[in-house]
Amino acid sequence: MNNRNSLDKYEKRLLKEIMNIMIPANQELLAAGDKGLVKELETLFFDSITHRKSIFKILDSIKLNIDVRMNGSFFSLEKKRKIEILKWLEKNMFDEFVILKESIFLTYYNDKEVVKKIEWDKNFIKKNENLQIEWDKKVISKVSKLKPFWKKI
Amino acid sequence: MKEIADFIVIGSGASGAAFSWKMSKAGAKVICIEQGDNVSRNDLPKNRSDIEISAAKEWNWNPNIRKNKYDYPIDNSNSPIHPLMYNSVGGSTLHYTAHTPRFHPSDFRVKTLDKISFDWPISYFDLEKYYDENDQIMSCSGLSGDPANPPRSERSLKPVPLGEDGERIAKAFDRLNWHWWPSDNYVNSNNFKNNWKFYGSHALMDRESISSTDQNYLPKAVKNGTKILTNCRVSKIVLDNNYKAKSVKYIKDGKELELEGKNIVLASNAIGTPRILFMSSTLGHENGLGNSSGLLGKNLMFHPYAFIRGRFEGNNKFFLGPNANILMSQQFYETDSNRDFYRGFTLQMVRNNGPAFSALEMDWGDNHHKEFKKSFGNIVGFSIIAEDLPEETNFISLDKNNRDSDGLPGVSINYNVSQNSRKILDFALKRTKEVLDEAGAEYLYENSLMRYAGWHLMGTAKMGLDSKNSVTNEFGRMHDLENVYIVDGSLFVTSASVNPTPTIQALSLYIADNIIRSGK
Repeated sequence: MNNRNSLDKYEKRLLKEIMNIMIPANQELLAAGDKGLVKELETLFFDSITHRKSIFKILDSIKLNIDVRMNGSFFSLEKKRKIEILKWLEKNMFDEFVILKESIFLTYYNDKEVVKKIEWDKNFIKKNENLQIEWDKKVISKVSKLKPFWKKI
Repeated sequence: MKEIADFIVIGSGASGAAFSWKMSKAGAKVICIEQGDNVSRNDLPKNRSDIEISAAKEWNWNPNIRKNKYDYPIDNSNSPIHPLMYNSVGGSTLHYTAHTPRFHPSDFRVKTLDKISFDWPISYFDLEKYYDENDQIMSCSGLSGDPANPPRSERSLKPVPLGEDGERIAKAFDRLNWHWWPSDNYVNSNNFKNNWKFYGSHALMDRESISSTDQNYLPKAVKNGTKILTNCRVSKIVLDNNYKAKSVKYIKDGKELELEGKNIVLASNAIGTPRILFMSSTLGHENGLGNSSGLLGKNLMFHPYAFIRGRFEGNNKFFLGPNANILMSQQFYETDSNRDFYRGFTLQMVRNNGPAFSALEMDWGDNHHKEFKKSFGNIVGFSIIAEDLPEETNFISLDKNNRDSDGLPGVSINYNVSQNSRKILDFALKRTKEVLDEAGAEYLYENSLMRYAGWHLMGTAKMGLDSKNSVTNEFGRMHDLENVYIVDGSLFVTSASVNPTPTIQALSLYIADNIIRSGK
């Protein structure tokens, strides 16, 4: 089952919903899923077997969840219940969830619009010539007066 | 004519490169076998916008996630700490933060001082000149005069600047009257003047400023005549009829080849080295080559790490600068009879990551953006690195159900955090909150045991004077095999509570020097 290389339509929708829950919209930016980043996530991470397998394992677990099955789909559940399911997965499928979460966050925080809004481009990507910091000897003036306290043996 | 090396060195990382250089400088014919490939400078993750994606994938610390073809599978299901490593020419020195403190003299005398565990068969002072030699070759930036450590020679490069966040923390330590000191690093601090964007998410700092053995020891060794065979995975050490090692078998491009050598040197880290020795089991060595003590693979030590984050108010840019090699405190390094545990810990200041890895440490969901805005650039963290005492119940074994790309067995880890380590971490978390408080940082969260923190691999073939309770002698030679040496962290008797690379390299140089002096 986990040998698949791409997401089907339902899985894309499911992943989009998870992304929206984990990184919702704010006043300036759309939620991660609504930004259309599912495709980006696939592009960035589906060449890695580990990432692909972990994401499919989480999606499969959601599909098999008893509440999801009883209600017809994950989308029919109330948001509170959706969050509970994700929290349960975070606790019980720790390694896979870490990879899913990492993939979502990495995709989102590498999106050009997001990078610009959080000013990561200004502060890091573009070189800031004014940030030159020198070693200042004064900082050790107190600690350097401590008597040596390593054990001589 | 058949090629016979004086020394076949298995592994080109921290220890193998140092050993190859030292022996080849003395005129020995050295062939270094490396399972990984050369990494081009152009392929290094530098200051690029997708640096964090690279850190999660092809440069992931965890071989089980990275899954390069040179990696071998490691079953971590019985260990709360997952081992991390990199397999390439230069080994994990292409992946480390290059934080390079030394062991203390007391670390070699735990049994004498504390009546527990073991003493090393050598002392700090046996290694001292090799620490110095290694610091010179690796290019150490830092500052002499640390009151927590024996005096040492001037570092060849000035210390890395603390930055505004580092200075705030340093002042907090001062007010508490606790020890702290700028960290020793194998980092080119001269680069900082024009490159303070020295960003350290997941050790993917500007790696061109970080000293790795592919850039220092190995080119020198090659100049001395050392041959490096890449993409060659050792499958077995072969013995002759006199139970002396005569060759190694290795796999290259799916073909098994054999290389003869007068001496074999294992430098494949504390997981890879016992793996090769277990794979080399043969008549008379049924439980692994050189394992008459039964201790091969046992006494595995990681450094159990805890982590704590705090947050300053304001709109700071505290992601600029190295990630984890800023300053450290060894206020609680030694055993104190007023506490309910043996030995102690080092506290290392840790900076912000980039946006994605910073965000990962925050809540997901409705509160996420608010938290991110408040925290990003304002975070300060501490790694607590606890001394791990050796336990025979912590061990590695071969995992024949999971095999590498050449069909060789993987490794299974069985490890538990001891009660002593747990007590150290709990005590340290409380003390660290005091530092945050004193610095005026708001406590955010803690991770009481980091899972993906098995950077330091130690102890699985410990050195000692008695062949009944150690795997090698005091010069790294296996008790059971007169021409097989171990020069990596497997030899460690105890773990101290500092990053082990300088000690691994000093040990390797010390062993090589002893071989040279003995005229072998």
